[in-house]
Amino acid sequence: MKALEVKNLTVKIAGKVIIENVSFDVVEGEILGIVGPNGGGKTSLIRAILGFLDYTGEVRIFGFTPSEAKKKGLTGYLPQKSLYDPDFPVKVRDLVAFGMMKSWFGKLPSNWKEKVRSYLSMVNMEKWENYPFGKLSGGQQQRVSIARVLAGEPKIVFLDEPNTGIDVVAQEDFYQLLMKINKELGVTIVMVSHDIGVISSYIHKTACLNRVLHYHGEPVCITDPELLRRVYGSGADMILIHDENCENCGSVNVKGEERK
Amino acid sequence: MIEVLALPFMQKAILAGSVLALITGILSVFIVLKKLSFIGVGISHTAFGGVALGILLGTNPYLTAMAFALIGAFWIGGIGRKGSLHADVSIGILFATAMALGVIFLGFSHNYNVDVMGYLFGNILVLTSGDVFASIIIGVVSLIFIALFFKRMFFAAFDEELADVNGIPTAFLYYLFLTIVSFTVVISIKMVGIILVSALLVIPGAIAFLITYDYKLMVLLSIIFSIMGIYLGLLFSFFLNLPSGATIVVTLTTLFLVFFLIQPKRRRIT
Ligand SMILES: Nc1ncnc2c1ncn2[C@@H]1O[C@H](COP(=O)(O)OP(=O)(O)OP(=O)(O)O)[C@@H](O)[C@H]1O
Ligand SMILES: [Mg+2]
Repeated sequence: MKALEVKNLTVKIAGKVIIENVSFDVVEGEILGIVGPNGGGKTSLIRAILGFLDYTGEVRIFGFTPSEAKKKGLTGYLPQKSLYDPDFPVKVRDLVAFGMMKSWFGKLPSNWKEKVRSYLSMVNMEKWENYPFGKLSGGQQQRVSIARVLAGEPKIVFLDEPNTGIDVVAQEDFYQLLMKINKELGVTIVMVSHDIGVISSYIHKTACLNRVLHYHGEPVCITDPELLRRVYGSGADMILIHDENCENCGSVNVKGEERK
Repeated sequence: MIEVLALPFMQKAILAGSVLALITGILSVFIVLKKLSFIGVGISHTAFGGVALGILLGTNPYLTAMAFALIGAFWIGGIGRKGSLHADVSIGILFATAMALGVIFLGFSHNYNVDVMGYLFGNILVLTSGDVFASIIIGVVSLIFIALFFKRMFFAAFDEELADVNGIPTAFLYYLFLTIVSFTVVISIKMVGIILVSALLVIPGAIAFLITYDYKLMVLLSIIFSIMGIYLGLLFSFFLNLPSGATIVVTLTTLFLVFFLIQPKRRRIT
């Protein structure tokens, strides 16, 4: 089953082409890492897929259009920037509970508080459930937001730089958590990250985006297969990688190992 | 005191005022959280254009006011959602235009018996049974819709895109909200008037915002302050022989100032 199909996607903002003719698939249960330079269009790609930007081309999420998929509650989203009013009256517990609210109608389950607590404990934030969300630190907000996404029990999640602001110690836990929801719950993950050196051992596929998607069945930039395996891990069954149009991508891909 | 409550016009005022307080208490929370404080001003002044047209055409001015209020609300909402202009810009353009139209309509009507001041400032002490009935119907329907979507409306007020990704009908909820605000503005014209209704749509929520981080408690407090404002305002206006709408607004403002000076939220986080 294809969790995500993107065909000939082109996004223009104010007449400027941000994403040009991008096509790719994500199979159910996969983790796709999207990398690319700042301004490469990663956030725009996710926002177009979720129906927040106008596009031409075709997007299917589990076979549905974006708006159908959202209505069916299949999607989860963690945006890149989240500047919330620190005084907004929503407590951590309430925000995670909001994540459980879907579509038009339907109440929270009667055991919603326990459920919220279990999602918060996955991100080690259960002690903060009664705290105003806006008063948490950036990294704490990020963790609670991940709990919110999980609470929606989505089939596919779009995480835009989810590890931003999460401290070094928690990073490892965070990736373990992603692996866990991917393996145990079968959640398909589409994740933007600049930390390709770290995420490469967790993800199944990589997409390198800089306006166009630089996809090659065979990596052209890194010729040494040994290095490739070290960087991407053995789970790399297919690699989407850059070509000469993609300036910053090479150094990102082999970060920590070798810079081109 | 008790005798006052036995007066029929006072009973009508209290009944209709309670309904109005309940709805504006809830709506003002969303208005404050969504930073739409001027929406009440925009919609109510647009309604004035409708009142004037109704007078010119010799029809029921509340019906034309309703139509104008709805058009105004959807104009403000539509421009705000497109994101090309901030809501305050579209409100600024709209309400001056609607007032101007209102003045032109009145100029054409040559009907000098019209109590324009009554529409501008209201008088909750001269309601008819029909007014009370209309406000109860509109109040009950609004409350049913709000109760149905209460949590989803908050989620959307917090972050509309996140709510949208969960399949919550955010556009529908937004326009529902604007529709309820429009109806509320129209029923409040008789009670507090076009100029003063925006205060009811902002101040109760603003006071509650100063007090709590809990959204449900915020709604409860906002309703309580709204009811306090209307009841105390009614009493003061009756005993001190002051105009009712203005007294209600000043009472609410006084409550706001008290809590603004105390700043309860700044003192303790949880
Ligand atoms: N609302 C907008 N109006 C105009 N241009 C925009 C808008 N949003 C994005 N862009 C442009 O689209 C391009 C891609 O932006 P996008 O945010 O998708 O990049 P990104 O890959 O996510 O970058 P980063 O790594 O910094 O998050 C940029 O050139 C940006 O200037
Ligand atoms: Mg981005």
